[in-house]
This record gives sequence, C-alpha cells and structure tokens, in this order.
Amino acid sequence: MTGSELKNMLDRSPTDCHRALIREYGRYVYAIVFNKLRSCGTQEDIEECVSDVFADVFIKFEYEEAYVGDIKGYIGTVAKRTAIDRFRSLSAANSHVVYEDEDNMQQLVSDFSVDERVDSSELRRVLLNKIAELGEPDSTIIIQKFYYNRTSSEIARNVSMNPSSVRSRCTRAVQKLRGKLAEVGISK
Amino acid sequence: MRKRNLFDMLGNAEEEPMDILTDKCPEMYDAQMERLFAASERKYRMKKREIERNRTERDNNITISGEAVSGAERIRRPAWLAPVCSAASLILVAGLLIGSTTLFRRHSGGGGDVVTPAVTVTTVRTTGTTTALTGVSGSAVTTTVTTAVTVSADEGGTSDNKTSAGTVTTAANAAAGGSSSGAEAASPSGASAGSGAVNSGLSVDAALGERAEDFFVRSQELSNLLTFRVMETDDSDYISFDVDPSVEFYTRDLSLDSPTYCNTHTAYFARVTDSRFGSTADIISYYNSLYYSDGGKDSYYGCTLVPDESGLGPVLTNGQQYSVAYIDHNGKLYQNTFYPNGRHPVMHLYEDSPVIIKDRTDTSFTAIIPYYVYDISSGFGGCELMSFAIDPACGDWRIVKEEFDDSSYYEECRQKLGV
Repeated sequence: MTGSELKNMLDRSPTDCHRALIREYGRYVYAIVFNKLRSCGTQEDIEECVSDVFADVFIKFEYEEAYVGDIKGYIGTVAKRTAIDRFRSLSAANSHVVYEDEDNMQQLVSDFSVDERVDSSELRRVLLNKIAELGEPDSTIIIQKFYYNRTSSEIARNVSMNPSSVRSRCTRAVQKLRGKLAEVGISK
Repeated sequence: MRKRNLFDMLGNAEEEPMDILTDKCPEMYDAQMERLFAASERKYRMKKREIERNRTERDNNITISGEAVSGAERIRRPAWLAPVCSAASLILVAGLLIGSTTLFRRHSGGGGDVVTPAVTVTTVRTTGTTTALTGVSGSAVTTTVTTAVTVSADEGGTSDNKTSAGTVTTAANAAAGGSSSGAEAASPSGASAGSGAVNSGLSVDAALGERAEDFFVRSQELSNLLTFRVMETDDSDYISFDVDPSVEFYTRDLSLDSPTYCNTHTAYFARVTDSRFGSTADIISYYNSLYYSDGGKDSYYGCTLVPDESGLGPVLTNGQQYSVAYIDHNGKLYQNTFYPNGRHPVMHLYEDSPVIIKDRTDTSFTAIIPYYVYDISSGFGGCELMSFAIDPACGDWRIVKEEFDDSSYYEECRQKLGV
C-alpha cells in the first residue's frame, strides 16, 4: 500500500481504510509485538498491544497531512516502540514477584549481560539458518510450533495439512534440527 | 517461572531474523482480525475524542489568504489555572516577607521602621543584688537594682522614669577616667554604648558566665564518658560476655598479653579506676548534676540515656550503635571497650572572651560561650548557645538545651555589647 492509496481510501471511508491496514499489516505488527512480548506477556497482552499500535497508526494518518512514503517502515517503527513500552511495563509488574531460588535470580541477571546478548545474536542467526535448511513446510511447522506456540491443528490449517501429519513431520523435523545443531556445537 | 527453551533466543530479534519470523507468522483468522479491528477502532475513537477535546480551537475570524494571516488564535485554558496561580503567588510573596522579616529581626533586634529610643533599659527584679563588672577600658561598674522598672530616655536625654513601686539606683564609678560600657551600666541619661545590647537582651555577667563555662566543660567530659568511654581503667581487671556471632564487634581484646583492638565476638569490660565513679548510679547522678530533670534526657548529642532494662547500667542508643557503656559488677564499675569511632574534639575556652548572657529572666538564661578546637591559631571553633533554667528539683541552674553557632554570631553579639 502506498501513501496515495492510503489517502484515497481514507477519503472514501476511514473504517474501510483501517480494516485494510489491519488486513495488510496485521501479521507484520503481530510478529513484531510477539517477538518483544513472548517472554513476559500473555496472548491477551500481545493482542492488546497490537490494537494499541493500530490505534496510534490510525491517529497518525488522520491528523498528519503529509503521508509517510514508507508505510510499512513507519508501522514497523510504531510497533517496535509500543511493544518495548509494553515490555517495560509488564516487566516492571513482573519484577514484584519474589523469586524463590538462586538459579532463577542468576538467570535474570544473565539476561542483562552484554556478552550474552552478542552470543545470542550469533546463535539466533545459526538457529534460523539451520531451520531454513529443513525446507518447507518443516521450517514453518517448527517455528509456528516452538516459537509461536501454536497447536498442531492451527499449524495444519496454515500449511494445508492434517494435524497428524503435522505432528509426525514436526517430530522428524526436530530430530533433524537437533542433528544439525549438534554439528555446529549447539546441543541444548 | 516459565521453562526456557532454545527458541527463546529468537526473542528481541534484529531486523534480518525479524523478516524470517514475520514470514513464518501464522495467518490471522477472520475472528482474530475482527477482534483486533474492533479493539483498535475503540482505542482510536477514544484517542480522537481526547485530541478533539484538547485541540486548539481556531477562531472563525482567522482568515488565511496567500501568505497573509490575520485574526487571533484562541486558546482555551483551564478555568482553575488563574486562581491557583494567584494563590501560589500570594503564598510565595507572603513567605518571602515573613522569612526576610524574621531573619532581619533575629540579628538586628528590631525592624528598620521602628523608631528605637536612644536608651531603653530593661532590668529584671533581682532585689538586693550587686553585680560588679569590668569594661574594656578597665572602668569598674557597679549596678544595684532594687526593684523591677523600665527606664526610658529619649534622644535629647530627657529621662522618663516610670517608677511604679520602687526606685533604681545605678552607680557608675569610672576608676581610671574611662566611661562605663557594661551592658547593665546604662545610665538614665542615655549616654551609654551598650544601649542597643540591653535592648536586645544581651549582657555580661561574670558569675553566670563562670557557671556556664563550668557546665560547658563538664558536659563535654560527660559526653566523652558516655559516648566514647574514656574513663581511666585497669585493663587487667576485666569481665567478658559472649556476643551474638552475627554481630561484628570491634572491641579491645583484654585477654591478650598486649590488649589490642580487633573484631571479636566477645565484649570486654574493664574496671573503672576514676575515683569519682564507683557505679552506674554515679554516672547518672553526674548527668543529673548537669541537665534539667525533665525526664527526657534526649539532648545528649543524639544519644539517649534510657532506663536500665537489662541490669547493665546506662545504655546508649544513637541509631548507629546499641551497646552497653557501663555495668556494675561485684560492687565495681566496668567500662565497655567497644570502640565507637573516635571522640569529640576538645573545645577550649578563650581566656579573654567573656561569656555573653542572652534572654535572661528570673529562671532562665542562655549563655553564648565562644570556644576553639585543636589550637587557638587553627581558626576552628564557634560558640555554644547553652540554655539554662532553674530546675525545681534542686533549685539550681541546669542545662536545658545546647546549640551551636558560628564564631561570627558571638562577635556580632560582642560588638553590640561593646565589650
């Protein structure tokens, strides 16, 4: 969607324009918000944040006369910032929980290690490469199963398969992925 | 806590991994889409209403033609803003006025607009007392007051004596031809250098000054005894107690051949050899000989002499430490060797600076006592404002309050007195 298309749609019907924006960029915003909040928020938190992002975007397009050229980039930026804000408030709320054992506390502390951040970036790249090497639909099944925490039935609808096939492919894909990761020294 | 797995590392991803994850993101179903749309629309409408409400309203008169803009933009301000700002300004101005007046009156002894009589002598009833002073010039001044009166004299020297129930006899004997300059030596004729000082309640009284200095010296000693435990002791005669192992106790280990300070879990108490103190009761008695018996005893350098609850004598609490200072044992007094971080610097009294008496009444006065610490040439020091009152329990002066001020305050009072 371009800026002029957006303007035309807004002039005709703001509601239709909003619906079209969600339809086109909904997954994109959801993926960004999910990525930031999956460790601390519930599904409701994530959907709440996604709706916040779109409300902000609608307001922006309503009152800004100069339409942004790169709509996707703009929406992505708003999504990231809103998700980070929500992450902070959720983390602050969660920080009032008293952790029972030392291991958990050390785990929390290690989350803020700069060295670990750098290592995580590299590990993330390796992991995604190895998942991509599995090919389709296994890579999609693996990510939707273990990253997006979707059930086999939900994944089956996305990849046009039946749930039992998804489960068996998933099992085999996990074994293959484990082997690939072991080759590069990632055993956990 | 939620169990972590390998895919957690995909969280907070950078741009490139994010593209892959977006690509693999599950499709949104219609129900989920409608839910998101409804929530987004609801929030959008709320925000829009808020913006519309707060938005600047443009006046209809504003016309924009080409590059010329005319008219005025009207901005709506909250109605409560003006009264609140006015009230805040008034409070601020009132505070400034009151504060500056208070400060001015504190050191000047009166407002600038008040016409101060040339001489105003205010004395208190001390029937039959005779006070001898020596001024700077060496003139001996004798003042005899027989009853309470107020004597005023105007600038022209016309005395206006209001004697209601007695007479005032004031005699100034200039021994060496010097003029009298003592605070209480103001003559009704108005020829006195100390008129302002008398008006501000300042005076010099040798007897009271000596008493105040004595109290000052002894209060310092008591402070060091109680707070820093500096009595002479016989280290070979000691008793010891086990201390809670979790408490780090820096004390003098008297069990060693050569006693030294160290961290131990044992409290050592050495026998006091100071002949003045044979028991904790003697210490408390010494305290009572200095301080007003109001039961509070809370002016002691932040420490409180609390009643004995453990049978171990005076206990000091000052927020930082809690330890027994002295205990009685077999009819002898023992002093704790716990080291409480140093002691008060000794405050020395000046030989040639008289104690100035302020706010004197029948039953109270404040002594302004100048002192220096370390060495007279060090420049460190100040003045202690020690307030006294007649304690009904003993009929004698006792300390009720101790405050400190800079040397400049003493000098200021001294200049007013002209001594």
